[in-house]
Amino acid sequence: MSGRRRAGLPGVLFRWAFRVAPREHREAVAEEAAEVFEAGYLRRAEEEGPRAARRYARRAVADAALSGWRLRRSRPAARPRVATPGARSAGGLDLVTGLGTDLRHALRRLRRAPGHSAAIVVILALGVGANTAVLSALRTAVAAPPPYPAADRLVFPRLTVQRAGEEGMSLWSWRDFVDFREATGDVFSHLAGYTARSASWNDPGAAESVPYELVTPGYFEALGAVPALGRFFLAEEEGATSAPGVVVLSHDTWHRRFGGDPAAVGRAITVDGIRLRVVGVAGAGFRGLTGDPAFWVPAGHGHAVFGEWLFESRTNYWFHVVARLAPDVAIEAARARAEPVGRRIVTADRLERGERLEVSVVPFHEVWTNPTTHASVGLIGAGAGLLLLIAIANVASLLLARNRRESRETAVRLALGAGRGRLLRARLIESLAISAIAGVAGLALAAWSVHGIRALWPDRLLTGTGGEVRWIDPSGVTLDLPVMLAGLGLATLAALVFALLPTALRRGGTLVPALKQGAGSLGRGAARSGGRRLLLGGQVAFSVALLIAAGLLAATLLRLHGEQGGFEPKGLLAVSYTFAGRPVAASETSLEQAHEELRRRAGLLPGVTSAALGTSPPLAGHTMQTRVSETVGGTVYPEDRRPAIGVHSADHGLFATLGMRLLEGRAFTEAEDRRARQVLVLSRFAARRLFPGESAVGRQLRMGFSVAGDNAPWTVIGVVDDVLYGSPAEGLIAEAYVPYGAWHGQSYATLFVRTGPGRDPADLVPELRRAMDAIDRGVPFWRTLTGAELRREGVADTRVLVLVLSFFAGLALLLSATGVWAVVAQAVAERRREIGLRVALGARGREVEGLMVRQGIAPLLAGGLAGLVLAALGSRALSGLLFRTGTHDPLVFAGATVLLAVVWLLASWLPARAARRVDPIEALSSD
Amino acid sequence: MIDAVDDHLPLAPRFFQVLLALSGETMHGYGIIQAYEALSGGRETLLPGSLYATLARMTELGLIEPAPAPAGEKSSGPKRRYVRATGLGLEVARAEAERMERMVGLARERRLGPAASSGRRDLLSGEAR
Repeated sequence: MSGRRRAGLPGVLFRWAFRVAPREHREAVAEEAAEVFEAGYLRRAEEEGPRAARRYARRAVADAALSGWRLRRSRPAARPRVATPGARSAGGLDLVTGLGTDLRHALRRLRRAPGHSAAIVVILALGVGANTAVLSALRTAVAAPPPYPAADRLVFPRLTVQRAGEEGMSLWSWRDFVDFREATGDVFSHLAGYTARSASWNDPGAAESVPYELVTPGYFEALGAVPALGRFFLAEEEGATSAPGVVVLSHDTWHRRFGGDPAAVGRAITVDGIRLRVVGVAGAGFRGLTGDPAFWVPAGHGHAVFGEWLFESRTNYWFHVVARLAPDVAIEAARARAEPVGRRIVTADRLERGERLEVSVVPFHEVWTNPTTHASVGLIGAGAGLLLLIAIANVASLLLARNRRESRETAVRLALGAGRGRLLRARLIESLAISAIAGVAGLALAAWSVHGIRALWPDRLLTGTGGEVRWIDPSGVTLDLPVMLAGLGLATLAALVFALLPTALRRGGTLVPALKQGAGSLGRGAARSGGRRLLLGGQVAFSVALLIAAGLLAATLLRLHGEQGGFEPKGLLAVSYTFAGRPVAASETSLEQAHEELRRRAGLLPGVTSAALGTSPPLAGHTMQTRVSETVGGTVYPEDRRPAIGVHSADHGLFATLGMRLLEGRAFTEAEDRRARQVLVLSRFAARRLFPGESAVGRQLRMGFSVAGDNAPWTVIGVVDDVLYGSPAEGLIAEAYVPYGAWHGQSYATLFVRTGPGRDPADLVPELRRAMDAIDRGVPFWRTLTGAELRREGVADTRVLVLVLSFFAGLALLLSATGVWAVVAQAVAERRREIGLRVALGARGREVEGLMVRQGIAPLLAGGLAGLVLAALGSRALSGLLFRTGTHDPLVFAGATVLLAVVWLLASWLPARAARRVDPIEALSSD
Repeated sequence: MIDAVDDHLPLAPRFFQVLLALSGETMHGYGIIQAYEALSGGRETLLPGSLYATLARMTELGLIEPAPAPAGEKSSGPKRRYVRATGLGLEVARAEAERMERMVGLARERRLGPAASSGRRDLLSGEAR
């Protein structure tokens, strides 16, 4: 090439634009044309400067594409040069043959403005696709058919601790359950208890922590399960405490661990160090009621793992009950007979504890769906719906704009005698073509999103009420045809209405204004685009609402993360275990020594800065809850208004190890680990609730739990920061920490270990295991969670909601910004003449630019205001999902407003800059 | 290819101006662009995309044809394509000029035309010789 100078990027662009031309033309002259272009470009750069060269390049690139396009269209001589959708139809036959012409014409029209058509298709596809995917998932979540045969014959007998205005606990104690079962043998054909636990799978194969269900015999029969292999449990295996225990594997576990080998039945597995004999394998589709258990063991297994206390006391509520109605017993009859019987059993000896117990028989479908799920589902559904509305408004406004651009063409056709019906039909077919293309794209998008939904599926988002049922399988999420059709239908309808409206409205109207349009109109653009402005305002309003909803949830997430639920998750490890049933549990002294020995050994491990003992880890649910009956010298609460209070034991180092701030008074002393009076430390929430407006320290209260007997009062010695134990949806309740030494003989505990910087707390598990082995090899850790895992667990639902809503809000913002852009850009295009005149009369570039930016302001302001009102009204629906965030959080509202203002001003300023470049002479002399 | 001269009339202004630019000579693309610009006194630019589309169309119509490079010009780069007006092209240009002249005369009679601006008339009659 002998050092010939090249034009660089413009040359590349020119060659690229030339590709539009038909192949034979391109192959013949493209290279030469590019050379000619470069010569012209370089000459201008040299003689007239870089600005002129750039201007030339812009024009030449556009010209290359345009003339290539014209050549392409003029080439195939066989094609009719002029399409004839406007020709008046003569008869029925013509109508049919005209259809093909119309379709060809529609496709050609779409191709003629490829950017415009692509925008419509993409927006519609996004709206339809997002809606289909999300609503399909939600339908699965809410309306999935229960995977149990004759599910309408299933009921959940509940033992409920009634609390005013609150969902009560619905767990049974072992002895109540046994009595209830005996008394209702004629009402239920099967009555079974169940609860979910997790365990360490030791052998065979790799060790891992797996979920399982502790059930009573009859569980499988009640749910209508059939074994794939072997058998289920026998009645006599229910309470069996002698080894070896028996186990039924899930179909999945059987495949994963034994490769589906039928010889697995009869073999032994080791779980939590306990050997169990496999007696059967459940059917392929059976997953129990609580999620996806790896195996089932009879309730008697609980003796070995959790201790006798589970079975002895009537006030240890720990499992759920499911039952199948006996044949010929209707649900009403079952209620009438079982509920009074149950009530008699459970209230016999517990009235003096101040608990009001109620037994109710709840139909399956009431438990299967969960109000919290419904709130989240409703929220996501509303978000998807808003997005679809925004997409439709956007498409409508694009179509309106094009129809206005083409109104002169339409008027000419009408003036030339084209049938109005024929024109309408042409538009109709065009809209249908757009919807069809968008529908296919949307379907592809939805199919792809469903994978994402399966991956994101929140474990806790979709559970039944009170944790009784937890079975919604993400792999069951598939594309939902009815939802897809509904979304697509709505989009088609909108496209049709907006495509046809202008043509239909012109009936009988004069054609003259349309024909005169562009021939001298000044400043009428604003008046004529009222419809688009309304649509833009609507988009803006919906975007504001969506963004604020996402913002409120994001604020919740941030606060959960930021405050870490009142504790410091970094470097924290929580290990829960129980000595129940072990030799050390023989006496209180040896039990205390065992706990303290473990704490001592943990504290000595390298990298560990502190170790402490407590009851339950934050965000993982309460271990024990009771009610406050009175504050001494203060309030005596009526029975149905007693505040709930969580009770935890704490040693002297617990608050420091968890990173909880002491706000008032003192923490426990080391001496109180051994022996203590009835003193306690309250959470901030508890102190405010129970002793409003005064210091809680030194005050006394009574609650449904006492270690000194006779319901002796507890004295408050300190106040600590709040820690969330339940989920954000449940919200904060009062918490009380009682000294470790005051609550003797606990076999269950959680050991908290904090590591110094650079030490991953998860790495400590094996070393802690060795420390425990030195005390008792037979004690498994039934739950080990790092602080990060605790936090993730606690915010899982919120995180998914934030993710989905943020995605919607982002899309909405993008779409509405496009809408703003289009309105301003169109105003600039339509008012070139006026701008030219203004410039000719001496207006500055900045002034005309400002004038154009203001084109979008009115709908922005009106829409933004409407959106704020919408959000303020709608955000109440979110209140159950928020944590320490008001439904009208001013920071979120202000932040969303500022963000939107910046994005939209940018979106109007960018196209408005074009007004600066209007050449007055060109603008005034052009048509 | 349409042989009858009258079937080409009125001639598209761009075709006419390209024929004027060629004015019986053999030229390559860049030469035509420069001549075209010179014709309009620098007021009009023929962009390369339009040029080659125009040349393709005019070749199809038989107004111009490919030609070998003139003896004096030797190309250093890739092979250049040269074109010249065909006999038909020249005839059509001449007929168009006559047609335009008649039109301009009629316009003058009706006091519509430009007051005999010598430059333009010279250009028209001169080029269409």
